[in-house]
Amino acid sequence: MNRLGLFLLAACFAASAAPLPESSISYTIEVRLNPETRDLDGKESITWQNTLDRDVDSIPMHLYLNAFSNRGSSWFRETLGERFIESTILKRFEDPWGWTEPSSIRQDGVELEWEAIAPDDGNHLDRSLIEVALHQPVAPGETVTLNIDWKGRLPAAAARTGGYDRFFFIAQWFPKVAGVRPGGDFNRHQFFGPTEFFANFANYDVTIAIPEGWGIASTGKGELLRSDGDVDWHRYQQGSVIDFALAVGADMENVATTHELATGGSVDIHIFQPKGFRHQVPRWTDATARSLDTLSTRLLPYPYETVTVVLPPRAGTRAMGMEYPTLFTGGPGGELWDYRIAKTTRLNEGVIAHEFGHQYFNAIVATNEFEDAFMDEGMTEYWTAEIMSDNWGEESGNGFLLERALNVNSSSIVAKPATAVYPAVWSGPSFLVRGYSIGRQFYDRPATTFQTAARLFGRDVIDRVFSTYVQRWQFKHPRVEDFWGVAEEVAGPDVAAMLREAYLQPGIPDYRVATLDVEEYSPPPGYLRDGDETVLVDIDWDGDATFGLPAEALEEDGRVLIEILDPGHTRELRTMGNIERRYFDTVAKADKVDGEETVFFTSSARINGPDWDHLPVTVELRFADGVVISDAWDGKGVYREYRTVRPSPLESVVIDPNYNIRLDIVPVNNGLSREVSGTAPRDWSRWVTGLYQLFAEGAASWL
Amino acid sequence: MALTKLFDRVPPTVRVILARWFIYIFATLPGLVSMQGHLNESVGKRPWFQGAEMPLDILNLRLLISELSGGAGMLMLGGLLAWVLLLVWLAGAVRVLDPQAAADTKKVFANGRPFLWRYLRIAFFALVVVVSVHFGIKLLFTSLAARAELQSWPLERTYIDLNLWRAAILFVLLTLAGVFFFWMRVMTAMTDERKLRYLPRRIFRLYRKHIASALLMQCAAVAGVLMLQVTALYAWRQAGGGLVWFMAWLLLLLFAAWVWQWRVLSALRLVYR
Repeated sequence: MNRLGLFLLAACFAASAAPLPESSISYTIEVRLNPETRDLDGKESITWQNTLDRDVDSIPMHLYLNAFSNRGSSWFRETLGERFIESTILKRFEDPWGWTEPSSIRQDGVELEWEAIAPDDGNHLDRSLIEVALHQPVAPGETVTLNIDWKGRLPAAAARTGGYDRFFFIAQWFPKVAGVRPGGDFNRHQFFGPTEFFANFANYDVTIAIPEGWGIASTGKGELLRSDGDVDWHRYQQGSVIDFALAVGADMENVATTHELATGGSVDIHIFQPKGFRHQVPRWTDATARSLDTLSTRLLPYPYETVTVVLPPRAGTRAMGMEYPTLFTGGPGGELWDYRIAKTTRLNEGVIAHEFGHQYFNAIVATNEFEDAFMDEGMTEYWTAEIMSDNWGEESGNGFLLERALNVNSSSIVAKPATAVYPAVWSGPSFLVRGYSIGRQFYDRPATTFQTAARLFGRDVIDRVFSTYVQRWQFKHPRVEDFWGVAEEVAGPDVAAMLREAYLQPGIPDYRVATLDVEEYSPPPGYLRDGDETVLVDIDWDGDATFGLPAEALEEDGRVLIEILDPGHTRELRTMGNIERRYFDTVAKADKVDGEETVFFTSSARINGPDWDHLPVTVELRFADGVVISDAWDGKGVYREYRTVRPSPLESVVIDPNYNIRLDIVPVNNGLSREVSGTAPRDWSRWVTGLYQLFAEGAASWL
Repeated sequence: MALTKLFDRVPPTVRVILARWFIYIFATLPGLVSMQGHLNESVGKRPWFQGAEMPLDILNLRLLISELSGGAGMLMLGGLLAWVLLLVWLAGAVRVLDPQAAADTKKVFANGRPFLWRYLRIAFFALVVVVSVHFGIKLLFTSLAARAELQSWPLERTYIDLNLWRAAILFVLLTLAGVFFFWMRVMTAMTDERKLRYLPRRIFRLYRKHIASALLMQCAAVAGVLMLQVTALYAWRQAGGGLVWFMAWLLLLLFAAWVWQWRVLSALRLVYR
């Protein structure tokens, strides 16, 4: 084998999945689902190792399903107004409620006591978190085994768990030990609507009884153990995961395909969807395989052996778009994707790419969703766009709707600057973020931060940052400071500073061209010196139109003089502004027109910026004679003005012409032209007039 | 002078058609100018849109549509004005085209003006009916949506079929109501009746005798014109615009005016049959 062959072999081994790490927790659960009542009847054994540096005499545990137990729970109280769709559950179901209650918790055979706690809001109606008092304290490094008998009821499918009829998505369903923050304490938080979950890595061994013949999909790998009367017992196991979820359904089927990863090794892709739609399986398998390959190649080889995509039927549509380790829900399953309008979109592929992306940031790296939701959601959103762009292109990555292309990033770009006040992305805990800003804070702002960084510093640089971060922090629950640390080490202080600023600054940066003014040059009225003489220029001056013109305006050396007014900026110290006279070599040269008398123009433009320290832009001044001036502005300061006298008027000003600053989600106002151009105004005004004429016709026909 | 003579020679039917067409043009012209001015200053001066290919992709379509609301004020007023003028026109058209009416057939609007208040009263009742129909349909389909969820109807039926049915039923009911109020207005102008409460009985009697021509044909005419216009607007937008489409739209408005003239003539013939 030659040297290249050895190198490739070594690279293959380096890139293929490493064995999963040991976990300090294990769950063995046996549970029975009664689909008629939605009831769960479970027995659970938890072995938990104390990784804290002190004795532990009580352990907090999540009873997530209790978030759905009454209208006064913290989840309902804080969520209904924002996720209005949940309110329909109350109207449509006689008993939509879900709950979990342990009937017995034992340590070494001794019955333990527990009580509901509400450290976040003191809500006495909330039982989503309990504190279990141990019989014997657990010393650092020691383990304790808790045996729990519990009963529960799944809610009528709400907020990505539960079900009814003949489909159930079984998530957040069992009493679960609260996660321990690295170097910290238990993550004692109740369950609130705006955020999701956090837990330490554990080994799971789950046996579940479901009606005979029902389809099943689950975290990990499993098998049918036995059929017992009208019940099938299935067993699933998975090591080193933060959670465990299942989906079961009478009319569902699980179709598996083995995919050879681009980085080596293979992964079983399961598509769990309503029966009768096998022809769609290749499409969803392909989307999953592409996601696997993109992230395995650019981040880390996928470390698990399976990935399962659940495409719920009608009864489970409220479970859509949610991630769990090695299993996630995509969009709705079934006939919708055969419908003409939906068929040409890649919206479900987008959901699959997004939820698969969570496998890395929610499941493998596993950040704290209660406190730092922006880390998982934001990074996943960035990588969703990368997966879609890599595989199908940015312009139409999301397919076509009514024959019009759906841009991968179209959801984050808006037409007008936000009127809402946005706190810094790093603000926390995340469960306090409300309503309108959840999407922007957790998804768009972090994602556009990374898009901007990739465009400013290079995609390869940001890929290196992410791959180092994921490889170094896999299975370790990093915080945002750890990510910044990796960025500084791998990409340098400029990249780290840019990322940090984007997370620390409140508000959304918006560059915009405020004004563009042009007037024909005429000598300024008053006394002007002409050699040794003083000439009075009155307001009706009809002498030489170029009298008093600065010599530089003639551009005899081919360079263009621009006056740049910079008002300065302040931080801890004041940086004084100035008026700088700068000579520019032109990006594009003038189109010379012979035989015409030269007319000079005074042009000025004012641009506004966000006054950030690490968001530099290029500003292009485009003149009517084809001359283009390109100025690099560091973006420090709230505005900047350009003035020039030239033999051609300023035609347009464009900030960030390549749209590198994706953080600026209002790119439309980044440019301003002096003259109207394009047919859109005329065409659209006619069309909208037609629309109003139609309204009038409708009113005349019906009223 | 010659122009006036020429105008005098225009037959009443053509006069009625052109009057309706001009209502659309002139009532919405200020809105058109205002909207174009607004878009010139916003979309027209933004280099972002200059490189965008037509027809616009979904992103640019969304960005552009959000600019439209700023310039729609005059158009809304124009639409409202057009509707009021169309009421006057309908009364005028009935008078001008009615062979038994002692009316100056050259003055469509002058003939229609006295009926405006009565027509607005009819419009008020129509509004009550339209709102009631809307809420009735909403109630029905909200309950169907709940049933769809509880009984696990397929997604396509829940989200697509149900909404299509809702729109279709609403459209049919509104069209039925619209034709009824059309007859109210025709009768009012023909009889110069001031007590509108006597009219429904006469209309239902007409429906019983001539269900096809009094109701079905009228409904088909209304539905046909509206569907044609909706289709044209959709196709215009999908094609990316252009002068040809605008001209085609103006011709369609002219066709709509002809259909309305036909509706009035047909109604008059039916009453005098």
